Amino acid sequence: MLNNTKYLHVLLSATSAAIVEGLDAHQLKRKFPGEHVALVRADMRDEIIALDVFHQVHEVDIEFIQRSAFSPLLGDATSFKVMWNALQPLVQEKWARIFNLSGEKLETSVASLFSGMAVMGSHRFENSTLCHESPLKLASLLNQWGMSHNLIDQLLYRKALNQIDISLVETFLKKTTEYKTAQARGDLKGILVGVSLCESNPDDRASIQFIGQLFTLVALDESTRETLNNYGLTSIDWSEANPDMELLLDMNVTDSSRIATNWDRTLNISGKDPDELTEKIAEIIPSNFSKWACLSFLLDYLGYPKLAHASEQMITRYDKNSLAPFLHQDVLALKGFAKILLEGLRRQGLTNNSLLADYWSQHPGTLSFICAIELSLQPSLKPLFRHDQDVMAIKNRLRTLNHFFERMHKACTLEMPTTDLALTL
Amino acid sequence: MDSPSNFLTLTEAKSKELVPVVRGVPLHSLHNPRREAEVFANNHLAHLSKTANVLVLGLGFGYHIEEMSKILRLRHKDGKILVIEAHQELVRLWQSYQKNTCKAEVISALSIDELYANKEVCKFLLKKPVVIIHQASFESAKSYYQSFLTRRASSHLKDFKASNPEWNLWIDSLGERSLEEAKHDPSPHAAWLRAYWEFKHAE
Repeated sequence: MLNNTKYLHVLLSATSAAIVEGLDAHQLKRKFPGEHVALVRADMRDEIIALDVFHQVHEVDIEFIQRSAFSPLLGDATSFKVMWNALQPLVQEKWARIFNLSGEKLETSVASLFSGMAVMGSHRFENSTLCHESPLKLASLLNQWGMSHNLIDQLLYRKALNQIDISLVETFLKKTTEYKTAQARGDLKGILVGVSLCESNPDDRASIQFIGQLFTLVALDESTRETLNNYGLTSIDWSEANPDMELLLDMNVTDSSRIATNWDRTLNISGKDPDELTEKIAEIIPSNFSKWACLSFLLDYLGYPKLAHASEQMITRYDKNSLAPFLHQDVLALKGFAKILLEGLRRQGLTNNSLLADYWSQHPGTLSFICAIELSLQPSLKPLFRHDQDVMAIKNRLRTLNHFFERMHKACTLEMPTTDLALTL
Repeated sequence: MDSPSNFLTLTEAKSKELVPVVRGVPLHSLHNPRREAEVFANNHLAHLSKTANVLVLGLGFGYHIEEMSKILRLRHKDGKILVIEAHQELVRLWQSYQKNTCKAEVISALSIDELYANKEVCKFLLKKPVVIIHQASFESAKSYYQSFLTRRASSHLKDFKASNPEWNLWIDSLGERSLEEAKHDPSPHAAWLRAYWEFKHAE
């Protein structure tokens, strides 16, 4: 039986009929009970109707719009009115969900005109088509809430435009070798990690630029040899290096003239108990650690769990002996936390405070790690855990985080995403 | 302004067919309008043989339309005649007295803008029909038909008016900006222009 919930499917690309055929209509109607309305191009109207998936089919005559737009007699104004008349009745409706299954530019721009809970994009999985939230919609929401980050924008936007060949990124992550050092030199103390790009070809390079923008690219030639040696990167084999080889430098440097801080103390982590480090974790995670975590989040969210795992492993490369297992565990715990948090949010009539308070007492490191990740989204925020009373600050921070997840959750609608990490977004 | 009674009247030709008279001028022959229509259609035989789509300016009382339709049916499988008539009253009279046996589509609008707002007319024009003028009708509403024939597409955004007052105000505020510039405007209304741009350039 139909209820008054209405869903709009924007199906304007030439491949729309094939996309609809790939959908499991029964599953779709079961998952989204209500009236399914399609917006289709006029020449595909009959084909879409014949598939018997939609309760209503509206058409927009793209061929006419294009022909009249370029006609010296009719022109843009006539053409625009035809588009307006076709779309305006649908714009005035309230849609429970807007499906943008192809994710093409035309569909995405048209979908942005409609008001609804969320825009759904397509994600092909094995032989069927699943739906997930549109990356572009997420990017726009993040931007709207001041949660924007260059990495997120780039990654989501490129994903929306299908411009990422993710397999090349995966290859890159597998191929990389790393050099690392932590040292005090003169007035600077720093930790520096290099990731070699020597095996990448020009095509790979174009695809991994969005990762490269997080770091500094340095060519491996004589001009950089001395500098890198000074920073303690002595493990590079210069006999095999050539100017075409490049190093991604991930460097965090602090001024040693500052009074010793927790960061300084915790930087020297050798021989320390992980539990001891737990309370200071927000301070010892430099921004780029959490950038990898963000990347992991995003890759998983975008439906690439293997790649997300590879990205997580990049964190572990920073220091395998001590920091890595701890951070890796924390990433896993973070997933667990996000799950609990969202389950709490879903449960109506219960307050989340006790749940969060319990979690806080059991997993302080995880929460601070979340904060660190969020800090990397908003670099202007000051690090937490400076004093004892920071516990209160963290709790306040969690309230903000709670709202953040809640808004994300609401905006991205309520069905269960396909991966654990997607739950957090 | 003409009152309906003296602006448009009907008279009987010697062959007993009805002939509309606009401001005292008959739109067809007062001797034998059917014979006149046959000659009219034969004069356009070459055009009618070449093109299946015919745009006729001037309905008169439809005699010439019927004759042209006969030729079109012989020459083309899916020929179509669209008639533009300036006088809506004449169309009503014609519908009352004559049978539309030729299945021509007759469109009458108060203004040229209204005419170009009709999607069916625009669609038909995009088929590049041959334009045939019924001279007597044309003379009876010369300025109407001339502005129809001399219209050129507007290149101003201010002509992107629609049914929403807020939209119209925003369009007015854009001044002389081009479509390409205006679609980057921060206003949420610009989403319409972006969508239009994608429609226009979609493959």
